[in-house]
Amino acid sequence: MLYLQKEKDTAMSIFFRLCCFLIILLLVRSVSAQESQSIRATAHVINSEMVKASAEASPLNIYGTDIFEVIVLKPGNGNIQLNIIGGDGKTEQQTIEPNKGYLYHKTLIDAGRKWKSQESAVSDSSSTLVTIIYLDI
Amino acid sequence: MRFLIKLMVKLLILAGIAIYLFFSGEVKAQESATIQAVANVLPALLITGENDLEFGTVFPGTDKSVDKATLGSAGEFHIQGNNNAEITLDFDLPAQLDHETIAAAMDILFVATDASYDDESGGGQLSPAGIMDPRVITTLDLGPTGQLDVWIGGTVQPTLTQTGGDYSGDVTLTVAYTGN
Repeated sequence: MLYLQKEKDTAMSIFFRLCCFLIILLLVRSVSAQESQSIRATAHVINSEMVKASAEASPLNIYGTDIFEVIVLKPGNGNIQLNIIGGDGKTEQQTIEPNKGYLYHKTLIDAGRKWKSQESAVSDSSSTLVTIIYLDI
Repeated sequence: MRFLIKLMVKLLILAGIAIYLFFSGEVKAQESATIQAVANVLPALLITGENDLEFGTVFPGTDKSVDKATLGSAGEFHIQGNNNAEITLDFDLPAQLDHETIAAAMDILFVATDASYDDESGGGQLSPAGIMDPRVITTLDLGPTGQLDVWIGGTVQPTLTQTGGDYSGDVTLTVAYTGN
């Protein structure tokens, strides 16, 4: 009888230790659990070859504080980007908006529309070449 | 005298038996006691990607940045876990975005102020609780109800001869409990 009681106690002890082990294992697993999630970084680059030279600026040669006009030759939707090459060799790029000077977004561009910059196109006083490099997104 | 010697011998024998019984484990009378095994298992961390980091249309040769506070364009993650638990946040950031159809890549840059978070103490994306550097592992506490939102911006750097088309890359955020 005493022997059976001892065997029973031993079994219960093993069971108790097993339960403790499983709980600790579960706890450690939960604490060290980590989760990952990904999002996408996306961008659409305009194909410059398709839209090159769709408009022209006038005059092409401007000076430090000159106001210049951009005349659209081909209708389309999107932005116009100017590539302004200063006399010092530095290139400045601007996106213009009708009657405001910069930033033109997602508006129908009619052929023949003229835009005029309201701000100085360049900061230096040397001759500056203005070229249209992108249009029609 | 002889009586005292016999008595001491008997006492020594009894002491020896007691010591033997004590250390042998042959306990004839058994006692039981129960203790409680207590463990507070934290709920699993859940993280979801709420919004992609969208740069939209990009001109060749002109860098374009998306600010972390720009609604609908900044990348956004939502984290749910145990109330006020401390976690680590580890971004895996791409160095380039890949063209989706041809072998071309465009550089993407992240700086120290390109991410922000709100642990329920701020005012959301436009007025977050703080700024974090997405390039290093950051340790933060989840909010009182176990929530944390993270936003990330960045800058793409297309070259003047960048091939036109759609580019994309993965921004991965890994979160883990610290145990604190």
